Amino acid sequence: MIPARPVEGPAAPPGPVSLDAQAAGSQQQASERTAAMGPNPAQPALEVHSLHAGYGETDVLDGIDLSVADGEIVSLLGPSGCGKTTLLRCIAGFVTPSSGVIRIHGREVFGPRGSVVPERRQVGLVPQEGALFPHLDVGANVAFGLAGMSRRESRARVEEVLAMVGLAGWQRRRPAELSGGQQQRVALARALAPSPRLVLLDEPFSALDAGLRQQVREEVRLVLSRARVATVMVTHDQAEALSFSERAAVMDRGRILQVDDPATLYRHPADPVVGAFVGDSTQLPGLRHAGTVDTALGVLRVDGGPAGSEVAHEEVVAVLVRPEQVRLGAEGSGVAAEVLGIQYFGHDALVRLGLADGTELLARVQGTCLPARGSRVGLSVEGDVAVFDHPS
Amino acid sequence: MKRVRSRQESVPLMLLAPAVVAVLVALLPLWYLLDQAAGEGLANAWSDLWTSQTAQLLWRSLGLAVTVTALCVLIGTTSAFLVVRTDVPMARTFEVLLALPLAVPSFVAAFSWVSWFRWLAGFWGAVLVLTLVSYPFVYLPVVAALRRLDPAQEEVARSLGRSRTGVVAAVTLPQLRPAVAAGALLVALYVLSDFGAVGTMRYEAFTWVIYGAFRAGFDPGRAAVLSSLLVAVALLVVFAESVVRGRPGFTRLGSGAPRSPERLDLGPWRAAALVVLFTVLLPAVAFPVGSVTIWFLRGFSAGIDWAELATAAAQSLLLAVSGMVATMLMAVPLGILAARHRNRRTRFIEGSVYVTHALPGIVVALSLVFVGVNLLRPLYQSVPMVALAYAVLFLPLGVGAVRASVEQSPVVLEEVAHCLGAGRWRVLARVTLPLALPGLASGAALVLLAAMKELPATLLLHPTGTETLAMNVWSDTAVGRYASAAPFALALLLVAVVPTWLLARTSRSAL
Repeated sequence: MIPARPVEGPAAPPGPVSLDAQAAGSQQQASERTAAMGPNPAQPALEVHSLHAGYGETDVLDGIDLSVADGEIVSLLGPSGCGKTTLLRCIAGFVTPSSGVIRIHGREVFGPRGSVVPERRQVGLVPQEGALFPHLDVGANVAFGLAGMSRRESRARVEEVLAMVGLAGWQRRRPAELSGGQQQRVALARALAPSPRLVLLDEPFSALDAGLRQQVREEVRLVLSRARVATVMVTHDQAEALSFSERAAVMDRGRILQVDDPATLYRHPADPVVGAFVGDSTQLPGLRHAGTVDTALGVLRVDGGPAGSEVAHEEVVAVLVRPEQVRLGAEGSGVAAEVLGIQYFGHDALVRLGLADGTELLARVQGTCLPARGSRVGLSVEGDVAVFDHPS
Repeated sequence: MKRVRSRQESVPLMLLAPAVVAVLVALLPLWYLLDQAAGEGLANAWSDLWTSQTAQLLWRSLGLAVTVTALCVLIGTTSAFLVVRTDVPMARTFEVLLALPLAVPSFVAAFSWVSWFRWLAGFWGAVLVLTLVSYPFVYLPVVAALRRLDPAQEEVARSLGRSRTGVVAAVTLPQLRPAVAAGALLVALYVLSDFGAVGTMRYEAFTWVIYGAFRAGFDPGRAAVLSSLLVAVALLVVFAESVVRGRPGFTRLGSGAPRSPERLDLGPWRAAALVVLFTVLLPAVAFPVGSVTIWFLRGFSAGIDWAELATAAAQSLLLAVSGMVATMLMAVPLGILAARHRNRRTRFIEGSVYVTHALPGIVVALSLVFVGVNLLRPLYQSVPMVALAYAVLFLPLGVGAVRASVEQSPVVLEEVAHCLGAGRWRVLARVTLPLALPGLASGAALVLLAAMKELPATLLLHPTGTETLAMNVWSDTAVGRYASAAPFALALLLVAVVPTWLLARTSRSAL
């Protein structure tokens, strides 16, 4: 459904930079990727190179590099104000960056040669709360992007995409008659109808209440992966990013700190900020040796993941311990600690523990066996821990 | 949402070009007026300005404006508080009725009084009539502001130990200041620019003297100099209001509709509150309607020229509809620009539209006379010329309506449409305008009503042979033929009051 071949940009202007040479270059690059990745699409659906965007002195985007493969679902994750929404709006064309390059399926939509207007970027946008056109019914909403088609083709396409989102036959309904989840599915159908080369989701589930959110998220994910269209989603909800996307880019202060699949992000964070933002964790200082680190919790094994580079000599590092790595035992076993507080979630609970030297850390325990507040326990750490060069 | 160097900074030419043309058209009369005043010769203009007569004129107009504004603030704020925040009986009905005087043209109100009490003519007559027709300018924004207040603030103040009335003084009233100031500005501008009431009451304020200088003595130079002075005073009022209003800082955080505020239990004072409301409504609504009706019935027994009435109504409608079309054509690009493409340049353009808001009808009319005589001879005293005058006068009304209705629909709808491949024109035609249509329609209706009631520009610029409803009321009242003025006055009341009543019932913050 989505053409995988590159579509050339505007006709090549006579100039020092030959478009053909560039196209050949990118094809070469693409074939290298193909060789490395197996029978995958020839070209990334989205390429962003050293993108800067700013408002006066402040840089909202400070050198963003990102590549999204065709059919891939990538989320942009970060605290509010980190620049993720600005990046999305740059890709859609509503914000003009100050420098850098954006390519969609090899076609340069922003670069030194100028900016392509949003209506020519072939990007599907699903904003917060769906933003259906309130004056049009569901069918007309979905058909909005099909202006070039004949009536019959357009009607058939509307039927097709509505069926994809599970709302076949809903053409005559008004947006006001739909529930929040249904509105979001129609918004998705509207974005998919013109067969965009890239779909952008801007916090699409944040307006839904918690129970509905998970269900709609699963439905949307299923539709997107069936449509095999590259997708970029903005979210500040780390659980959403981990469960929705194939890869997530964690952003902070206009930079991308790490792009990886959810499991790697969680288990091998490349940066203390990523570690702290993705999932619960405790960070404590430690003294690093070759494969181990000395901490208040004893000698722990260092994770050999991306951050675990070899060191020749001892150095002070920050150690990241996940709550589920901490095991509680009877007093006297392992490191002595006192239970300071309990955050109870039902299926499990987070226990705040205090060590003799004043260090505090979190442990996750089953909801069925809770220690009493103020009781003394012994704790041990299971598995490898991540360490970072600069203690924070 | 943070907006960084957004695309909206590049203002599309298809909006900018017509908007600039509209502003130039709106400001052309003002420029021409100043040119004429300067042409009078600086020495002459100076001697015209520095006469005891001019000083007296200034004193009379300012005195009238200050007195009426003070009374309107008192009446408007009190009645707004009573209907929104107390348990006075039939609060909803009172709320709608209190807005109605806005629809009564000042010359009709003046006619209704002076036709019975001739001794009212003069300062106090003008004060009475102008106060009764313009207090809704304060009343309506204060009602809206009272409704916007978050009751949680008052509850917090109560829980911090303030008494019920103490909360009103410490929390509620201070937050009304911007609304009161905005309303007072409108009243002051209305009084300075009013022609119908001061003319009927024969009170020698600026507008009446300018008209006299133009009509009787035919001294266009002096008329132009006096008009420039009046514009300067009006601009001073606009400036003063922006100082008084201060920062627009009273906002509510968070989303969701606030709960409706608690109503004060008046107890035994309920009767007193009713007396206050009736003291406002009887002279402001009941008396004009009753007076005009009685004169109409008196004339009815003597026989009414229905053909003349129908012709006048048709001519009023023709001029008003042409004016409405001209106004909305100019207002649509300006309103969209103001709502969707805010930057320093567009704010300047929008600001210059509101300058015309300070221009009294008589001044606009006079400037267009100059333009017509000197530049557009074939258009002078033609329907397009009157339409142009209405467009200049009511452009702020139209722009405000367009802007508000465009702002109501979220920008993201237009962004989604762009992403679906629609260019600017298609987005405008398929998304922006259809969504704004209800607001545009009610804005157009407001302009139509305003044009029907307009007097000074119609008097000076009307095509020969045209006699609108307003002109008939004016000329018959001037010679004391009250019974023959009554049918025209009644028609104007019906045309103006009924739509206002419907509008006020559906949208309670309508102005």
